[in-house]
Amino acid sequence: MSLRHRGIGLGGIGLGIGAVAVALSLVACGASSDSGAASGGGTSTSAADAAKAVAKGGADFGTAAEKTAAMGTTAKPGEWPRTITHAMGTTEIKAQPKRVVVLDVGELDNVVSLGVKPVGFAPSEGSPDLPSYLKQDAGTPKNVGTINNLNLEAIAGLHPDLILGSQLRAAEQYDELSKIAPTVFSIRPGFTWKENYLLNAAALDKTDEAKAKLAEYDAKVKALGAKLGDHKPVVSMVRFMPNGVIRLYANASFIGTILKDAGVPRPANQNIPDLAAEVSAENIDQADADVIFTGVYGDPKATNKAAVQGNPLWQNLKAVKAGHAYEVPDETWYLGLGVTAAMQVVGDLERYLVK
Amino acid sequence: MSRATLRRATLRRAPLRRAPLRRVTRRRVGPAAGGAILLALAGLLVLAVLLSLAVGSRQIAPSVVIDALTHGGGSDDAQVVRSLRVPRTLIGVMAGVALAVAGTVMQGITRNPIAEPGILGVSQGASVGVVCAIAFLGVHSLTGYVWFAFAGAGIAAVAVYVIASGGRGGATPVKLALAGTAMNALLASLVSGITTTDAQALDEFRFWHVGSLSGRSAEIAGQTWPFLLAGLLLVLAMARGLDALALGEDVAKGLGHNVPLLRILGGLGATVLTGVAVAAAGPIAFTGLAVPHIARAIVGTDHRWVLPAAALLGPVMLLVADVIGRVVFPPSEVPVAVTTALLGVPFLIALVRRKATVAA
Amino acid sequence: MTRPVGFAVLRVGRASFLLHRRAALVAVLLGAALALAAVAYLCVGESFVGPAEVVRVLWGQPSPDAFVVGTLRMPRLAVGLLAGAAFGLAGSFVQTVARNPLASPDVIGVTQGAGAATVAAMTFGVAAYDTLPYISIVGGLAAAALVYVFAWRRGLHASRFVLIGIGISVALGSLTQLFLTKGDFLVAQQAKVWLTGSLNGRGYDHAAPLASILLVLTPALLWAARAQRSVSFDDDTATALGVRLGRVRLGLIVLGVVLASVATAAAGPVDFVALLAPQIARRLSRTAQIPLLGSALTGALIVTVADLLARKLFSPIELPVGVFTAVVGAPYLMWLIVRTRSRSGGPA
Repeated sequence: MSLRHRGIGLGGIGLGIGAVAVALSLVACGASSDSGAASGGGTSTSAADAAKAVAKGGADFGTAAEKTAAMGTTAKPGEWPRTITHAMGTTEIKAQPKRVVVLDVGELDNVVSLGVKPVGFAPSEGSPDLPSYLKQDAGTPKNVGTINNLNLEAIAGLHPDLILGSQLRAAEQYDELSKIAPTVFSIRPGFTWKENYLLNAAALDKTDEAKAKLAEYDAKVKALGAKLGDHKPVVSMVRFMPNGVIRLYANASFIGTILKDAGVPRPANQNIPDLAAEVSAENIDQADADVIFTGVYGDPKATNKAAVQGNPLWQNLKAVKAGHAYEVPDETWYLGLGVTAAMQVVGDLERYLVK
Repeated sequence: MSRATLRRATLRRAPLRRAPLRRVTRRRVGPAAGGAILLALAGLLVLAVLLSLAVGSRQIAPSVVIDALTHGGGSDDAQVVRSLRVPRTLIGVMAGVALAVAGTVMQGITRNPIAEPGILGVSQGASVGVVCAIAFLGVHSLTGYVWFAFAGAGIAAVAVYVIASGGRGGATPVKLALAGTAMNALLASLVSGITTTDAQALDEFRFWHVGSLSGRSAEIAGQTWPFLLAGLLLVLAMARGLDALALGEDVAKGLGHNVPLLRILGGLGATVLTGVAVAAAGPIAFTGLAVPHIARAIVGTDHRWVLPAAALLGPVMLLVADVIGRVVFPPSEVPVAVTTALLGVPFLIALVRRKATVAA
Repeated sequence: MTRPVGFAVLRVGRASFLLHRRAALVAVLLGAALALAAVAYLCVGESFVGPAEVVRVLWGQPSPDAFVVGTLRMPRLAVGLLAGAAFGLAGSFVQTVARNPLASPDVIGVTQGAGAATVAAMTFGVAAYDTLPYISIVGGLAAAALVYVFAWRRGLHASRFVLIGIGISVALGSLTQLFLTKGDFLVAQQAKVWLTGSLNGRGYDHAAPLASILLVLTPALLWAARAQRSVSFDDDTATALGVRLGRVRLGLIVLGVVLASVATAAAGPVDFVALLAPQIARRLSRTAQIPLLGSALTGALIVTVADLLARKLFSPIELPVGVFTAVVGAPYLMWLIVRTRSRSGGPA
């Protein structure tokens, strides 16, 4: 290595100069990919694109909803045992489950809305408690680790007769879980929430109730669309994440599906078939629209929310100036993955948008 | 075997064949040359500041940057420069000065070329102090938790130094590095224990786990400088002793210096500077290691020149590292501590390799 | 201060003759302790299962606890035992070559290299989950190669080796952070759990590659046991005895690095086991050189006990096992640094 023959100082200076050169040459790349993000929320290189696709569910990403919709059962109501087709294959359930363990917030919402009090629940690392909007009806499920660190013994100790989760989160534990109890996995949480709901309901023999709930949601969200009339405001979704990450939530997200159902238009950079586009604090003007709804993942202090919102750039936004930037509960709008959360979000939307 | 080999290893150090400190000791610069070099370094710092103001995930032409600074203006670009890039750059400058001077002093009072806040676990100690203050005591302002940063940094510094000098042969580079590594690992695992059981603390700590300049407000910049000044004054009070210490403890005594007092003042100064840097920007390693060596390579070993040169070069390194971190993965930002480590490690390797034996 | 070379060798020879019996006794005792710890590991958890019931499950007899003990705890125990043994062996090889108790794969960047490679693969999604172990091995080997290349300068000096190793491990740690920053948020969360070294959810499919690699390496291990002795002489003695030091050292290091990387692939970067185990084993058996079997048994014992604590202490939340090994290991490393005084206290 050449450093060996040089003095320390020269080596160090060489490094410094090299670093500056790297920095300058990268400015160009940074700029070009940035404009890409502005126009379509895309990423800089094809490699990054491929990686992103895999990380968010692989080739299944686009078709996950269709595939999940095709899952479920052919059994008639009240017919036991029944065979459920799901993301990991088929599973036979002998009798109507009484002791259900849910591995994510989405499944928790699903079963609670169907009147089932689960015996076990795995919260996310960021919020160890039951979501407040489900607390009342969820009973007192036992904590079975966290979403990314399931405690299999705790689950086995509950002697469940049904385990509900998703492939994206817990595919690696499926073998063990399926030995504990019949285990039904959706493909992924998120924008497939309606399909996941019906899949979970099929395992519980509550398909009719689930369909009724979805119809109720449908009616409510359509009514909202009607009340907003022909001149609906363009809505931008901004979420502050830890490490200074700012996400603009797009169509393939839970909130994206609700806004779509209501017929609410989105800014071009959020009208994409992806979970979200990322922007930096310096480009927060790209988040502008008629109305902005902001959420914060976890502790606001871990994000740069304060820095962004204290910034004149934020104050200059059209929506902020007009007083149409609202802070909304993250646990329903962004963490929410089920029909109960969806109903609350529609209620919130009505309060904010219908004057 | 280890007993014998350790002994052998220490013995090998004996004939300090090309010990750099001694070699460079002959190099001194006159006042004129020194002044010219400092002026050039100041120019470099100005360039780095401009780079930090002009480059980011948002494209802003340099002319707009200068216009925003001199004439103000309410355009979005001007706002970005003034409200985001200026505080960030200011904090980068202050943290860079603090870390570089802290590293210079640590290397001087320990007479050890790899002494540095990050490697010795002092920064990590300070950041654990800040986390405890925030998580357990509900202290949320820099002026409040900076004291805990001082305490954490001080405790970690003393512990690491006592451990490293406890064994045979005093605080050799290897022992210091190992003691620092052990301290870093211990603190990291304690924190990960806390954060796994208390999820709420996790997000808060993530902020303090990896040093970063992003999202720091102008308010923080305004609260930082008095503490920086205090640390620099402490160092100034003992700076004249650093040259004497470089010649050895006995020589320093012979020259009429109060060696323990020098060490205490220097240690205190370095601790305060590290604490300030951590409270403002989180733990950042390798700036304190690399900059003093570069400074010595440029201006010789006379601390009258080394200290100001390091104070000018520290911010240059930190700002350049931060700019790189801003542009590699837009719109995500790589924390500055990650880029300084990636820039600094090749430097450490060059430093270690340059010597026939690892000694000093 | 240095002993005459011939005398040192004589003493080493005499000592090893006297102390081999003790080393064997220590190995037997360690084995017994490990067996006890393993049974305790199988008994304790969310629900307590009596030792008698555990033995029944081990014998394959029907039992109501067969699932918890046999399906949940056994595979995890197997991974812990094998990974611990592999870390212990890896540490003993690298420490012997570096002739420094403070050099060990987890201090000089091997586990960090394996970790960085694995996290890169996880967050960028470039690899299927079942190829992660191989990526981890490649990462560990690459890190070791880097350290070796940079530290080599007219020989491999122990201090330089350690310092450069620490530098490389910090750089790799930063790279890991970089990947976490860039990677998908949800995947990054999973990667973080893995990064602290967790045995949760590890099963026979993680234990199998580890076991087969240990099996395949058995001849190499037997060779290493012999080679290790020759390397622990100083250069002059070894050369006089006709040992080709360069090759033997390289062989031992490669073996150590492969073991550490494979263990990291199975259990995650569990800190300090490779550092602790050989030193504890050497002290227990009071031999001049690091006892191989003792190191392997001690490594397995440390990981088993640490994971038992990690599972039970904050139940139902599982802590990563690496937290406990670090809490024990870091102070031990500090103590090791301080203790060098008492050894040289006499004549100096």
